[in-house]
Amino acid sequence: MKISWNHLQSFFSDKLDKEFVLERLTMAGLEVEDETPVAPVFSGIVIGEVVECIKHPDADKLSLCKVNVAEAEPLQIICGAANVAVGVKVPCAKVGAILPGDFKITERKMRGIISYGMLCSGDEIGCPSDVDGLLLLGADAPVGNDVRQYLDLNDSSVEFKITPNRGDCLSYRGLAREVAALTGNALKPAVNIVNNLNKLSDSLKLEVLAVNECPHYVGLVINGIDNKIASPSWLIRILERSGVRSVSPLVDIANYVMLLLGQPLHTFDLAKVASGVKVRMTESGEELKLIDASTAKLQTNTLIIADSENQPVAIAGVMGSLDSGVSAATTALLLESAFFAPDVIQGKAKLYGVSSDAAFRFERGVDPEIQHDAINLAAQLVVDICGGAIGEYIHFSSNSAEAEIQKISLSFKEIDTFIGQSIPVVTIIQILTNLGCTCDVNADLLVVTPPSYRFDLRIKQDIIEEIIRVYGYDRIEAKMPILEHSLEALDPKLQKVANLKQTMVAYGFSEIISYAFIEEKYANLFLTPAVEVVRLQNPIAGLNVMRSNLIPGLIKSLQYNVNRAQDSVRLFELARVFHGETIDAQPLHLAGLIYGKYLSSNWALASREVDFYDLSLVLQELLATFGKVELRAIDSSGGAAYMHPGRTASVLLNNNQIGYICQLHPALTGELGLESLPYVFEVNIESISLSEDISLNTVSKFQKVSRDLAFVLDKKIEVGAILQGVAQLKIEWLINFNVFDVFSGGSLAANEKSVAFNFVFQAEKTLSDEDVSHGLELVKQLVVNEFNGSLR
Amino acid sequence: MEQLNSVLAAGLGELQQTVSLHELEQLKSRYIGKQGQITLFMQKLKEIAPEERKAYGAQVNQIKTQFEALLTARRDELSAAELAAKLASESIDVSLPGRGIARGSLHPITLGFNRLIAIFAQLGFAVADGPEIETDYYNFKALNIPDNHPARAMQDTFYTESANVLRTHTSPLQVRYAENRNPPIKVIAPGRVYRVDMDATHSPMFHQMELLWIDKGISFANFKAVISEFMRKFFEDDSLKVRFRASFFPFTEPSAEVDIYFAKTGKWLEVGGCGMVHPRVLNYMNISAEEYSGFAFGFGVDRLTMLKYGITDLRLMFDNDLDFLTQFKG
Repeated sequence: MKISWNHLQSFFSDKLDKEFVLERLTMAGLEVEDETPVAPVFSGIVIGEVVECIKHPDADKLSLCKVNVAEAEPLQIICGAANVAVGVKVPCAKVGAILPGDFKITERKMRGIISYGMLCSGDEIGCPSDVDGLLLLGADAPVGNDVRQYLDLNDSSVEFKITPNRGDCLSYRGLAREVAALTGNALKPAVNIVNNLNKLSDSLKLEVLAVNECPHYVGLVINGIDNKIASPSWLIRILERSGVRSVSPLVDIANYVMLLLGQPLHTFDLAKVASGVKVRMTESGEELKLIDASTAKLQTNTLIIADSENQPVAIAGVMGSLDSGVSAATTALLLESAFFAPDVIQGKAKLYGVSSDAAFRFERGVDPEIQHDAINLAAQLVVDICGGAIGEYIHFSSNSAEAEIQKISLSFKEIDTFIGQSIPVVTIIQILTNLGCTCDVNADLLVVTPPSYRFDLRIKQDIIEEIIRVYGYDRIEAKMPILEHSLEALDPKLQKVANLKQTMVAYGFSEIISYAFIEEKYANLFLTPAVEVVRLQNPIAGLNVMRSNLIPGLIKSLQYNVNRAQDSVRLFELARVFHGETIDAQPLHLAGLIYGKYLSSNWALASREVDFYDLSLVLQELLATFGKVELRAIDSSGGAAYMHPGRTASVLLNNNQIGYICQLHPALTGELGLESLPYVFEVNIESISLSEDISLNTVSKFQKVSRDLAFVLDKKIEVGAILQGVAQLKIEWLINFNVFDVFSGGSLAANEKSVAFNFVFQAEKTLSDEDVSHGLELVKQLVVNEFNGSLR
Repeated sequence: MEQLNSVLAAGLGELQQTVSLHELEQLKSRYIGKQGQITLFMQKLKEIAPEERKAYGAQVNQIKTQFEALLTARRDELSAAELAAKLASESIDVSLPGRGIARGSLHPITLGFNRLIAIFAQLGFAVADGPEIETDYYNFKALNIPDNHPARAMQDTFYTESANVLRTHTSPLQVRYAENRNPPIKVIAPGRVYRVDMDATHSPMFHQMELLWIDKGISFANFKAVISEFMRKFFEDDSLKVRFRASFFPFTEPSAEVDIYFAKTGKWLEVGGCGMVHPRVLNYMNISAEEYSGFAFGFGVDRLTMLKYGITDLRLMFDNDLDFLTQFKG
């Protein structure tokens, strides 16, 4: 809602302190978004009348003028504008005047003749007009008077952010009432509006079929008008400063009354609605040609105005049809002032893709008691500006609407408890009365009847808000609640997430946050097999698919960083992925990525490219606090298309599959523009939980015995399977075993590899060779029999 | 005897000239070894007249002891010097950087959340979590935002093809958490939220935290205190100015915008919205509005985090540039 400050000021006899008022309004919920002076700074410019105008003797394009500025002698001024002529009244900058941009006017010799000032165009004083050349002022403009005064340029446009509950403040009168209530400045008495509803029509028919949707409707005919003339400058000025463009006198008047009182009006060309109007819901299949010449297919939840032939002529409260509206040719007008129920207007402007100041007000709510005032005021202005004569009126009012205003009862004790501070009863009554409410006090009980325009006040809390809003939120003293202390258990989910993130950080990974929506292209490259794809109806920047895994975000961040010369990249993200729209289909995943050099360049160690095992260790250690971790190779049939078929494993935690680790498929190299393919892992962390139950092994003080065994195996044998097999043997005193060497080539056959294991035994006694040889024998048997290996 | 004294003087002179333990041991052997010059005097004992023998022996012994003591002192000196020389030769440049894999980093938003959660954990708040694809019911209806209501236009919403929404705020967690619990309820709900808005100061995905406190007798004065104190603790500035401006949210009544004052810019900055939980929302939570009251507070975590760490460009938060990220070691 944009207003002219001076016009708001005109509602008050006393001069308002602008700074103070705007601050009060902002703090009370009517936030000032912007304040702009309507004209730049200038001074010394008065209204001048050109009394003599001849051609400059030495210049073709200059005129030599005598300009009356109500001083003893007219001023001699040279002017280059084409529209200068005897008799025009124009802004005249006298010697000493300062134009915008701090441009000072001095005596100036032009082609041998002195000019004592300058005649100004609209642009030169920051008031652009449609006319080329000098700004032509009205014939009634008082010569010699200051132009700023005359054009009311010491004004500013103020824009308010009006919250959806305050439809009553979408007008000058509404804002003025609010200013009065908040500052105590008294409003001027309302100007008496003449009643123009004198003769009920018997020829024009009004039929209201949708009574609940349209409880009040009044229409008035004005005949013999002229809509070809220009709107008066005062009207255009107020509209422009309120952010509304001037269209024609009739439309301007309707807009002005809406801005003034908050009641949207509609102007029909009487000739176009035949012999009456009907207010009804849409019947199926109806259409309406909108002002922008597009055709709206009307839906049956839409309230419309139809003409006497039952043809739609307007979407009620939103917009009229192209054909039924007023034009320059209009000579007879049907003015409409109605109350449409907010819920029937809500969403309709959006539905039909139109922008409508009327709908904006109706969907927030309009005072149900101002339809007559609005139409009477508008009619008066039409007759004053466009001429014509007031004709007959049509009228409908539903009685049920009167019951709308509800009384709200609450006790002063409730008010104090809710606020946490006691506000004196007189103050409360004063505040509510200033807001237009009627208060009845009965001992501790307060009964509040809000005025008709405060339809947002329905419940106790609304009244309490009004009290403290006007009293001042800043005057309520902050008080900490008195706590009944109770200790909360550690939050297992938070602990889990913190633990996972800290481990990733300790292993050199940086956390990223990437968008949950991705381009279709990325979604297809990194498709998770067998999950529902969730798409958006109204995506932004082409990001239309909700990610089903975290890889695309990691890849985009990798690309970003590689392009910025990072050669050793470790990233992770912990976020939701989307396998559907139910809660269970939005699990939290953790994914990590490594790429490039194992170490960034340094003075001491030679670097190498990262590989699968650099990442698998991180994964093992990451999950170790959650249970038993196992990696199991997935062949090409089991993985997703983006996984390298020979370098992919599923991740099992306590025998449940929770994710995968892989190198990305080499086929993506070109697409991703990377020199090598990164290694990634991704795990679902929803079902895992930190295990605090550690089965602690006793720590022996006796010496450890260490033995090595090396086997020749087929290359296809997974070492992990042997390690698992050894674990299952549950060999006595074997406390630790590990792989310490893997190689192929040399004297080995092409399909063979050598794998060397180390076994560590320890007991609560000193172990002998015999003690450990039994265990080692079991290992040999296992490898030879189960894995077809041979001892080296 | 004079002979003995001159031998001692010569020995001591030589002792001071030694520069290594090796030389020292050779010297020792030359003076007090089996054939040493001082030892030889002792061997001459039997040649001395018996009545002088005692005095002679004592004197030679004294000389020998004196020599030995000085020799030991010199040995200590020399071995200390040798050790020092050896250690000096082993010295390394300790100023070189360590090697291996450096620690990674937590995203600044995680650090922001960690601060928030830590502050509210002190007051015994639970932490709630919920879905990001949300139903119309929890995102709007149960928060007293009916279909087509102008309040919906306050938040530009992403819709999925099946007409669910990407939650526009963390407020749905209020109802999800409270609908199956009895007061007192003290919960915070951190999370990602989405709105159709993308420019230099808006990201279509951002982060919020919701706070909900419902109990008997919770008042407007209480929420002013809790939120003001929280802001001061978050920014570690006990004199931080916090103001509450009347506003409107469908799910709170009365409602307020929270601004904090930045002395550096001399400006108030909006950081969140709050208010007393609307009785209709309490109703959706199955909580009696007659018996209980409470307040809710929702705020943007990205903005608070940026203010806290002096980050001025929102885009940095989602570019994931390692040069930026690795400055946050967490």
